Amino acid sequence: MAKAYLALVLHAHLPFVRHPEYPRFLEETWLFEGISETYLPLLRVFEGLAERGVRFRLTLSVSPTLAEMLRDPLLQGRYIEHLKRTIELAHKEAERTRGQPEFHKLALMYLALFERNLEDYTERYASDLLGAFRRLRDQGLIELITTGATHAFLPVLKDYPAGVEAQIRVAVDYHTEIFGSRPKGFWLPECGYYPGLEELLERHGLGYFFVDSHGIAYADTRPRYGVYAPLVCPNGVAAFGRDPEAARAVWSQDEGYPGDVAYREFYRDIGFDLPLDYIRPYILEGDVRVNTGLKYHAITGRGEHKVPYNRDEALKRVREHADNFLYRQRKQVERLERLMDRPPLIVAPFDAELFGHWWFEGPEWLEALIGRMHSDATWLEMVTPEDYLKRHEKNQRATPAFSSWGDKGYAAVWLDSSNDWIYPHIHKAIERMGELARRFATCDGMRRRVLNQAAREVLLMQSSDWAFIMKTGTTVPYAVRRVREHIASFNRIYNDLLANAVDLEWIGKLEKRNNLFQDIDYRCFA
Amino acid sequence: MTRERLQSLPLEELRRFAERQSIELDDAVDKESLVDLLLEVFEEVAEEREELASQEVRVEAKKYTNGVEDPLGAQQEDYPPIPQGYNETRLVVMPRDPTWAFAYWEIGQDKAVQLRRDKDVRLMLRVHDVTGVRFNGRNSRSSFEIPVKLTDSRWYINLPRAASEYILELLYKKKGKEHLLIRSNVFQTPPEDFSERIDPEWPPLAGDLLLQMSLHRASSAIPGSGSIPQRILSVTEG
Repeated sequence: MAKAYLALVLHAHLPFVRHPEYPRFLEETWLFEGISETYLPLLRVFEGLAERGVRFRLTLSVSPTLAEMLRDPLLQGRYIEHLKRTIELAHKEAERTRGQPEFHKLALMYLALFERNLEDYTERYASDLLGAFRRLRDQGLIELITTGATHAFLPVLKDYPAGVEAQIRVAVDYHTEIFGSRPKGFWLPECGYYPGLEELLERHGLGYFFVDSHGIAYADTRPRYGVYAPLVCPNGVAAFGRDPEAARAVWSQDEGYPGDVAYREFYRDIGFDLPLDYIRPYILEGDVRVNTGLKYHAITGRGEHKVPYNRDEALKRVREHADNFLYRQRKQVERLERLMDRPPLIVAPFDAELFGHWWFEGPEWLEALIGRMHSDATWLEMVTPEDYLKRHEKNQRATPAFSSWGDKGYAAVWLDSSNDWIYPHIHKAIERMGELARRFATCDGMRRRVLNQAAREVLLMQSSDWAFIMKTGTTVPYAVRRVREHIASFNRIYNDLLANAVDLEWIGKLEKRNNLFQDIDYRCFA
Repeated sequence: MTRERLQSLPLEELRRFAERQSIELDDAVDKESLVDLLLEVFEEVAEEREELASQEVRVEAKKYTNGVEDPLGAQQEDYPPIPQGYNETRLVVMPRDPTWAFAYWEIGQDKAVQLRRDKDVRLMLRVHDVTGVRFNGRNSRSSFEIPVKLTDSRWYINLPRAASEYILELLYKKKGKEHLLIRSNVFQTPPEDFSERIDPEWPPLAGDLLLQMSLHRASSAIPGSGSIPQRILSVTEG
């Protein structure tokens, strides 16, 4: 009999970035890096565990925009091209580092990794990663849930509920179509929750969502168990709160595992370290240096000086950190079980891309952790939220507080002087889309196409990623361009429809580019 | 837009930019003179925009998170155009955290023109605490005013209490009389502490201990607080 439950939740998301109008596009590499460094390694870990007979249970949210990109033949082909280029570079690197044993070892490590990725992607998965996730789901190992259609931060759309409704409905319909069954739970983008949101979730058959710790702690009635049990909203939808201890172990900038000095340093990529002439074929036109994925240094310490990465050392740390996580949780659970009259639930949600992409050794850590729980840490049982709700049917009723897991815990990241200019336009677009949906509730095929494309543009402008980028200042011009393009496209369609003067050629081009959610029905905005 | 910024651009680009702004140029104009000219133009345009009730000004200014002003968008001149406004009077407020909210508004063009012409008009936001009250315009628990300019279109408002309900009004005063332009949506600020309410069926265990453990100050040590967003890492960062 387990003393406690662990609900591990991975949230895989990337915004829709697809530029058929260019042969290569810088921001498409977000997807390629995600596949190479996170999704393929995670799949290998999960399948490896399954093959070894290690049963596990975890929840995986795959955002609709990420799923669309993973299914898209253009991007699949581009990924393969990208992989081949990287393999070529790795070969050159293996040559170049012949006289430097420490780096040579790593060049060979990367070469093997990239070749493995190519083989797995093209042969094992036949470019169909979603199918791989489905199979794991069918084996009962992962529970697949969904999130906002374009990952909008929902609290900023609160007073425009048609916008929230569309984000949920399009996501649920899409998820059902590609995974073959309705999602039972919902990952709120950035854990952005506001009281009342559960009404819209319930309408689509969603039974649970996740909030940050203070969303539960500051609920409208004091939660008896804190975050160590879910709360159920008055309408029956359950809210699961993040365990701060699990979060701190991994996310903390100062003490989190990913920052350990033995782990691979993200910022020392040969795309930046090596001379331009050498690296030029592997970066983009205009000599814009980019990450290649080949990084040879360990974090080492705070300063500039970095030692060569030692894979064996790093893997040793991985095992130590898996043990450490269990040790810390054990201490926590021992305190909790003295206080609680039911087994405590530890909810540990993470962005999937943390594992592998940011924290290179992350997937191995997950593997070690799951392996340990299976072999000797049997006091901690892996569950999904649904498993918990089936075993504990009676839960405290309360409404969580408006909250998010973003910096400072509320809406500050998405509501900032760097990005607040977008909301008057987004809100207006939702209003106008509603107007169009009601006015043209029934119409012919041509108009329907146009209205569906308008709906896509409205959804695309709402991705929380754009506001986030504007605030955190990474690829700001791209984020700004995206939001403005979608606003401009939508308003053009709106005006043209009202004037009965739509340029179908232009619509056709737009459809080919922003081609997500083939089966969208614009009336979801009505 | 700084002198350095303009100087860093090639002459050809500066020329093209000037032409797009319908500035007549001498074929032989040197870079230094062109930079001077463009800086003058930027200043003029910035002043002009201050006069107009335009959201576009704010939009342009906010695009550059390093604070560099570029009112004519020299660096991103091919951004698609978006509406400057929607020619309607509206006021929307979005709570940001327990004690801050963000408000944006627009005044319909006819009204805006009328107000601009009138020297005696004083525009303001009035913030009402309507916690537990069905607001009828006069019965708020308390209120305070924020004077604003006709050229303003957004404001971050510091609110006195968390876990409360508020409503905003945009109004103007003229010769001692008040004229309401528009009222906002009602909005709630989230709590920043545990609720006082206890469900007798689910009484707390061990005092507040479980609640304290639930918070553990971890909420600020997580994604976003200075650390790089995991999935959106700039591929051009070195």
